[in-house]
Amino acid sequence: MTSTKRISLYAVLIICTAVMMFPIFYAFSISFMDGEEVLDGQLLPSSFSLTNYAEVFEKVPLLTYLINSFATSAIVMIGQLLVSSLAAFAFVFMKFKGRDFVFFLFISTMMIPWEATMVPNFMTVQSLGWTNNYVGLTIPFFALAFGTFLLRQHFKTIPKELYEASQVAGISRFRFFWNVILPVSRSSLVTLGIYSFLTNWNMYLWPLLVTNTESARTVQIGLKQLQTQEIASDWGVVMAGVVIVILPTLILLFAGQKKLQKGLTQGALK
Amino acid sequence: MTHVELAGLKKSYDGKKNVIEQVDLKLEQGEFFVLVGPSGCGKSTILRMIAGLEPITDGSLFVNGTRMNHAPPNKRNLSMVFQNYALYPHLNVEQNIMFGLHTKKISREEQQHRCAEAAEMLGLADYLKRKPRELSGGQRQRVALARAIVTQSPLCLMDEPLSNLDAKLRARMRSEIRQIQRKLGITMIYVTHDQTEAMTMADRMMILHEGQAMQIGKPLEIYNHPANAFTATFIGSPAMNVMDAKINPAGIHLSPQCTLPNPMKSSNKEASKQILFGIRPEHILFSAPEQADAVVEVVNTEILGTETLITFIMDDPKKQWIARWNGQWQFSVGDQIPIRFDMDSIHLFSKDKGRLLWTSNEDEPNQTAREVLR
Repeated sequence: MTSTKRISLYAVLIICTAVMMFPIFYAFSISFMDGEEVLDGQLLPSSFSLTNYAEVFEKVPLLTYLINSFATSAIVMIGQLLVSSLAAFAFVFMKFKGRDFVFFLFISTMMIPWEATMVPNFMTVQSLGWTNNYVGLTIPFFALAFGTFLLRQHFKTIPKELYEASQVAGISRFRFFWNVILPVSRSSLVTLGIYSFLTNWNMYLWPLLVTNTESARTVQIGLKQLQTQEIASDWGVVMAGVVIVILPTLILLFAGQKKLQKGLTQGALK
Repeated sequence: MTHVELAGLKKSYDGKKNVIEQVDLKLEQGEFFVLVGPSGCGKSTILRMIAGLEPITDGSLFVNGTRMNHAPPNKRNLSMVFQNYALYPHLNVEQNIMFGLHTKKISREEQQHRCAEAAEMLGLADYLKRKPRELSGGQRQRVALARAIVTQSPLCLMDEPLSNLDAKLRARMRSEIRQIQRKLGITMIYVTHDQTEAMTMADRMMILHEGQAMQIGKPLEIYNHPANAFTATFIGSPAMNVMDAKINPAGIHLSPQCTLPNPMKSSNKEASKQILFGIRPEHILFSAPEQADAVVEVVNTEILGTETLITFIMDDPKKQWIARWNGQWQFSVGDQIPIRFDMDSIHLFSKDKGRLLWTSNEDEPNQTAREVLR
């Protein structure tokens, strides 16, 4: 690559990064400002005071929300990993009549927008009395067609002979799944795990529907609360909340970026 | 004692066409048996049916006299080595070798002991902590072999285990596998498409073609007494020359200039008939001009050091014959040379099915060779 080409490429990348990152940067910056500074339209705070952060924990029960979000995201992640990997295993390694048909039926559910199933799901959850607790927030998301699809594509690249060798050795199906398939597919599992954790962390509508007590709500609703409460004018506090809420997302993305990329493109490149 | 018996084994995937056609076979305890044939002939399918990885459509499989058609693979008391070795990539060599031993209710110490023994036997002792990807092809092959050995199963199945190795390593592993099999006294069923492997390793072998057993017997029996034209051309390198010829009471006409005496005295009184004439390259001899059966044109010579392969034609340039002579012979392309056929070593096959019609070998075609003629 010639140096002019490289310079122009990097210039474009830097501009794009700046455009993309500006809102986050500005939110971060505002989270340290007091009301006056915000209204003055300053870009940088005059001092880095943590009062806004202290305040946000006082005004809304943010810690409870964070714990709730973290717990439900983790439960959904584990649930999705288990259910999707077991389903994908069946679709790849077990022979049964109509397997392909069932699989296509399965992934065709990806075409149904989630909002369309929301009302029946809500009615089910309500009639089971699952509102306002983790059960209602997590169980409806355990079965994930996308996750099954992703893992199936990876499992298909695992040589059939591994399965046959373990059959000859007399290893049970579940043990083979647990001791061979899961470790071998680590990168895809990490990808799916991050994906499902983040999706659930950012979920807004469903938690809003099935929770109405402070003890059960999640952070995304907490953020909305910050905006709609009377403190709305105090943007510094709102942005402090925002920064706290997006932190886990950023950490996960930075930590798992390589794996995420690898997992999502794996099937495509082979 | 019969260890494994296949009785009328058949396999069909669609219920209409049989990919394996009626295979009958009895294997003795401790025998090294090779299934050989071109790719797609069904040899791996037979192996997988014995292993229980593929359901048997029809016929029976007996192991030690017990019918095993529906037994799951692990109940058949066998071990298997796969073409791509099927090593678990996330486990190290030691874990790979011992993987699954716990299902046989073997104590931890005994597992360790067996693993160490197998690793010692195969020269893997220094690599026990490595992952498969850190091993060379030959070492991976040995790990797969070690995994089969530690189970101490009396029957071992191998599906083209050497096909991913280079020629030199293949030759060495061939003899290693053979030695280990003899030492442990296990019954081995070995699948390959390589006739050299089959010839050098087998106690007995079966040649398969399009799902049919063409011939079963000892390697040399099959080499000397092929039951049909397919076997004749498949076994031996370079292959037997099998050419169209016309036969009548007066003789065998290979070309307008070359007529050989008809050895089939009593039969075939009728007029001329198309047959296949077969002769191995080493049975075509250089001759004094006055005794020559034909004068032929050289189209290529390959001097291999101890022997020379001469490719020649008679009148039809499409029909290339190969002769193999000891020593180093230097001919130029286009040279006319006199040759003679060793009439004691010719084979005549029917034109339509390639059945053996006549052979002059002094010892009778053996029983097994005849059995599969049907």
